[in-house]
Amino acid sequence: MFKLKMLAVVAAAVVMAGCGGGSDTPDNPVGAPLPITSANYLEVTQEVLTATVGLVGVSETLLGTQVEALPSPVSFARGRLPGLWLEATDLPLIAGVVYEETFACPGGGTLVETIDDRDNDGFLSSGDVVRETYNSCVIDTERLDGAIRYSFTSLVGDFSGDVFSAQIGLSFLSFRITSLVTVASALANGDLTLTTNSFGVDNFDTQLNTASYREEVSIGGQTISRTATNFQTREVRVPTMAGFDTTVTASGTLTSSLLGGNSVGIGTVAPLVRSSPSEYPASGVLQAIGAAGSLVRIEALSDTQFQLLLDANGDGFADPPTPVTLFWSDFI
Amino acid sequence: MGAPFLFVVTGLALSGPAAAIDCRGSALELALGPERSHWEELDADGDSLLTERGWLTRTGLAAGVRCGATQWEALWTHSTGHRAYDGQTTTGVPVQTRSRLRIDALSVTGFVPLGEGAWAIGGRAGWRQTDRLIASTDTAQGYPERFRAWQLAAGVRWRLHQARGWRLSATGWAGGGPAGTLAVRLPRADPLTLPLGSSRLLALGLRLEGGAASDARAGWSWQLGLDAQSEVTGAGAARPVTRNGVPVATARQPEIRQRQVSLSALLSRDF
Repeated sequence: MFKLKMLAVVAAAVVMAGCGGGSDTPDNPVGAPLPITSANYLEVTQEVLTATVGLVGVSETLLGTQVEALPSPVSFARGRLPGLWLEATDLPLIAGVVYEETFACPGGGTLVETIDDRDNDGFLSSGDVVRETYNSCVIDTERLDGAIRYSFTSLVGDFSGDVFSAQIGLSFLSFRITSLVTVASALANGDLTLTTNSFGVDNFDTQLNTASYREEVSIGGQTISRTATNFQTREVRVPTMAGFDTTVTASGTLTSSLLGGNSVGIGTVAPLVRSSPSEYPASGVLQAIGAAGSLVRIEALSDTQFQLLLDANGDGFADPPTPVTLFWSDFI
Repeated sequence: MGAPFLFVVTGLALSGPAAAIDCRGSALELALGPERSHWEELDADGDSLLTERGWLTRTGLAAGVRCGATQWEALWTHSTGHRAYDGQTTTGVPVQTRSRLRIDALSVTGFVPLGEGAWAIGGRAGWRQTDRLIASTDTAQGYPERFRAWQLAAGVRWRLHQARGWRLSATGWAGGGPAGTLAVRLPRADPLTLPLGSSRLLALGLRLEGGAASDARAGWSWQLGLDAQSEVTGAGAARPVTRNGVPVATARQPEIRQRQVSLSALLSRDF
């Protein structure tokens, strides 16, 4: 994670124009509903779990081989928040102006920071809008291109501590992260709303909502695209005697190139609950809903196994080869 | 696994031309001894990611023959043991555990004397397979790895001293090899094969021989050997890590620096 103070200021200007408001993100296509059958229910299960639970609770692996997570624009944007505070040089306290500053990135390229400090207090606060535009900006082993806009609907506390609450609009405008080591890249387009309440260490309630958000991940000559439409995920963590409990819910429509460009609806029948130190949820039920009432039900049996029930014809009865019992570790 | 088979094949291959080119003075050797193994992996900035140190037990079987002026030897070695692992997890948390090693190596060496003096020049072709199992801890998962690579080296041998019944010689090698492969089973991922970088090596050896071989006659002979080798294998390119065919991460093998020092006792039957 980098801070603006680390970058050399190349130029600064006051721009007499409005900033933020309205959506300039492209429309992301939604695929046709996928008929879920005995031929594809495992692929559907893999995609649903990757898009929801797979982002939660990653286990540690010993180094011998160096393993790196794929670039994640959302994780990048969330990681910027603690450092995204207004330390712009010579920020003029004049109402109605937008301040723009250009920084030289350590490995080449530039970052243009556009700041609309609407309450003119010189700090990040409710109502402020910040846009970061990257032009082949190289920081450490990543090259950044495109833009992210942060619109602070509300902000109490600050991200450097453990207690804060915020609602932030994140707009990804052809934002791309490219790993210069692995050559993997991720391209993001769309708007997300991040609502987060942090009450302390391992004690938070975080929600992500989107009307439309698309990511394209390219690696090893293969490109995978996923679009979340009218999608909501929520992660709640509360401390317990043994550590903490994490509850995850998800709903919305997922379109994926791994499903042939088709879409499935995702619903939470019962929240998935993981109790540390377990790596996987021991309870909860997710459903993936396809065309003509077809669905696959994903039900946690324990913190090591889950069961799949396929209803390919939408008649309310399980179809062969289900029910099947599988290991969480084979999927996430 | 295939090393003993390759050893037999090489021996048979040498016996063919051996008979055709007036080969004589063949020998079979059995070797045994400890090996101190040091392994270090470094990131792209040259900072250490992990180190491993430990003792292995090394056994070997060799077949040799002299064809014309050239002394040939085919050697198979098998090393097993453990190393103490001092490294970190994928998120940088320090951790200590141990790794179990099994190493099979096959090499073919030829030396040609330079005139009637004490010097000889030589070449060596070798193949090595290293099986490494990093043990899991309470909080982090280990996994098995299999490294394979070929190497070539050029060397010299210097007969330091020869007297009736014994002789002392030293060898030096320099060489390297093309990119090898690493087959790895990462936790919760599909099997993966990663490329390694090219390698380079330097090796020195000291050999004290006694018995029949030192006098170039048939019979039993013995050797005591001290060998040291330093080797660097470059970092490999990254590859996708998949789970049920879906890319979920990337992986690459960092740069490896190895040092081995081995002491061996050999018993040889010269024909």
